[in-house]
Amino acid sequence: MSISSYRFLLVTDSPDDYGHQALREAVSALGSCQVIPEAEVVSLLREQVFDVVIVDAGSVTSAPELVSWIRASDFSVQVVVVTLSPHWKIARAVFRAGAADYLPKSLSKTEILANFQSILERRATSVRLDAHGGMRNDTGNDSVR
Amino acid sequence: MTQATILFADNDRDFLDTRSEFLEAEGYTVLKAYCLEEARDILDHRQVQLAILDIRLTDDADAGDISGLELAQEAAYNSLPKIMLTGFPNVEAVRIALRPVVNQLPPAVDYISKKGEKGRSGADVLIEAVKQAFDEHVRINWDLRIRWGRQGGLLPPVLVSLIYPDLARRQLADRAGELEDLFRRLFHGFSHATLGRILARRQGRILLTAFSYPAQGSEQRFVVSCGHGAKVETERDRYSSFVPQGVGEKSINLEEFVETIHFGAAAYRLGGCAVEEAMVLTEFYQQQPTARALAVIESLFTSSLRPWYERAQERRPQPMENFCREWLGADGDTLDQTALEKRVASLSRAALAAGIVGLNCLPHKLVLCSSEGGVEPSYPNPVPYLCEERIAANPPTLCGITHGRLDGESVLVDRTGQPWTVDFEMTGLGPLVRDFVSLETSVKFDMLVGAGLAQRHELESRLMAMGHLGEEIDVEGMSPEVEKALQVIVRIRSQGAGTIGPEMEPYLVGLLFCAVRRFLDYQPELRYAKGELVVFAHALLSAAMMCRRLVSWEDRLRDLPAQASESLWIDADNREVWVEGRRVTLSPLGFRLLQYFYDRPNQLCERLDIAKHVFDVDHSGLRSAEVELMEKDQINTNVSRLRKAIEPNPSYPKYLVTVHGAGYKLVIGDMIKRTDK
Repeated sequence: MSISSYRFLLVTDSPDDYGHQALREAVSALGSCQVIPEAEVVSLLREQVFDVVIVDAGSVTSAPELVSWIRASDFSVQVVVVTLSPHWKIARAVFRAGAADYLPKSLSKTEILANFQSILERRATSVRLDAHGGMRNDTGNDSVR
Repeated sequence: MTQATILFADNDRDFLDTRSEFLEAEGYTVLKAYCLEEARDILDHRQVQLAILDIRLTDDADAGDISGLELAQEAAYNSLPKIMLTGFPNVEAVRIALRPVVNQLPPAVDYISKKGEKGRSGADVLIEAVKQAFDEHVRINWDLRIRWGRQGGLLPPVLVSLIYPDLARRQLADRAGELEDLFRRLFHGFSHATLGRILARRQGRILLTAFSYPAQGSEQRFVVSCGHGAKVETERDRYSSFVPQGVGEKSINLEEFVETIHFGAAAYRLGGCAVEEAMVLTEFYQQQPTARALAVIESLFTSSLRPWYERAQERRPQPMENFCREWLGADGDTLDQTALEKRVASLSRAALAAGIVGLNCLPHKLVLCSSEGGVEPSYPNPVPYLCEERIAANPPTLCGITHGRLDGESVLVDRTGQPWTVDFEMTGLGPLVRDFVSLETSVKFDMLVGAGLAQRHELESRLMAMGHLGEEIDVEGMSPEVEKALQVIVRIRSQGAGTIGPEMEPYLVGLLFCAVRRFLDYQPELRYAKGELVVFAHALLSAAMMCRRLVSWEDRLRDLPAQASESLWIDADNREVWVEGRRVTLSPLGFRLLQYFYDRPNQLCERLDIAKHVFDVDHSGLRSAEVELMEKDQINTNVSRLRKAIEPNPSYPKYLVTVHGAGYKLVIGDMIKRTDK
């Protein structure tokens, strides 16, 4: 996959706030970014495939539950939670639900880009190894099949 | 049966003692560490399945102290699930601890506060986190019943001793417990498992057969690679990156990979293989007739490995020798000239003492001494050539994906003769020739047994006579075991010709380094059985013979009389002819003819004498017409061939001149005896 063809999905109720604009501009260097509210996530993910889903913790009912649901529906998708008010308990909960990262909202495009590039690199390696079957997954849930 | 054991590290002694009591009351064994060093010591030497680490493990008053978190991030402990514990929780520490890492556990599987939460005490939170970590990440199958070998000969301490032969005795019990954990994790979800037998032992790793049984359902069969965590992980990564994936019959699929701190295990399923009946190639070779061994070689290269070789082929300009040095680790300290010379001298003494052979080691040559007199072949001493990197062959090499260490232990063969490759630690991009030379080396040094050095020398001599890889050679007139080895090697080379082309030079360079690698296994301080010494002597002799083919003329000429460079010179010991600095290859008859002239320099050699002494023709009973006919047919023809070989311009011979009406004369000026050198 070329670097400019990744598909991002931003889950938020306020697509036009400054933080999200910076986020969308930054990830546009890596691919396309679609924005939807929480209510439409389930139906959209049943129809389309994304490389990274970005969840705005302030816009959804429960970030950990949404992360868990997305990971259950497509294990290869990376879920990143962004927040204006980071808290260690929420961080713990979203990581335990399978999030790839938990990031404070930032206006620095360089910082945002670096974070997402790192996530996509991890995903690429993970997909390559998973393609050979029987490998450990990110959560360590593995077994002899 | 092992017991759930936890390392608990906290520099607050009272806190640690109190919380440990809660865990012990739940049935866990707790190993307490009151400082960083104690924690590291327990991780390195004791058997633990989970670690609870305080983040500020050195100084609670220091906000910058994250020594517990740094310990959790150390690569050596990647495979151990850990819970971070802190009195000062913060988001960044959670990110560092819990952020996923590709293909391994994150630094920690949980992050909890010492103070508890939502009306639950800190102790309750800790106990719940520990339970959850054991269920989700430790995943030890406590109820699994394991048979350690069909006759019980593969108990954990035995396996640990094979993997870690230098392990201190006092650590054996803990390490054995850890190995048991490893198998309990590998066979998670099964009710019974049986270890079959060891197929191969590598440095820090073993390959064995294993069978697992679910509570309901049929037996599953695996080949398990088990050993140092890093080695098994490397093998797993190389398998994932390079081995072509297959389905059904003949496929090799990685089914599971698990790690503990000191061990890793990868379970491979071989499609269509009755693992319990399969044997390694060495065993198959030694038990089965030649025809079946040849069929396996054919199938291995034309069917099993063909998809490997068809991927990513390219001709690379790098010299073959560089690949081999890197591949075999035959560089730097390994090829210290003084140490190697001592090793050669030691082997020479040991071989003589064992009555195997007289192997006279001179600075630039090895002489194979015969107790029965006669010709004593000599070859270049390979040590200076290898250490000074003076191997001349430098052809571009066809590269692709290779198994990397194809030998008698890395190929499994079932009853029907179907081969599977296992052991992928060396798999990767490299010269395709390496699989062929590895297997040939294994035939010579592992599979061929019972042959003495003289027979092995004859084997090498016949192989050395091959001009190209696909050439047929005479395999008859040898002992049955040597003839079998020769036939198998010729088949390997013929398969090699089809894959990498017929050129001998890259192949010989590969063989040379394989032989050296094998010779390097010889340890002067140890004593060996006669059969082992024969193999080491064979490896050395083989390297020397390869060297003779490969070293540059310039290098050889340095050690020869000036006559070899300036006119014509015969090295009678090695049956080599040198003309003006060029080595000339002659047929046995051509060599005999030249030797006859050479022994009579600048003298007339009459035709009748040549016929008698060179062609063994007794012409006393022949009529003169018959003699003339014979002269035409044999002498003229062979002189003509000889001139083509030795004369710079055969139309105007300067060495072998005709004396009209009488015979021939070899004109070479003043002779220099070899002993003058």
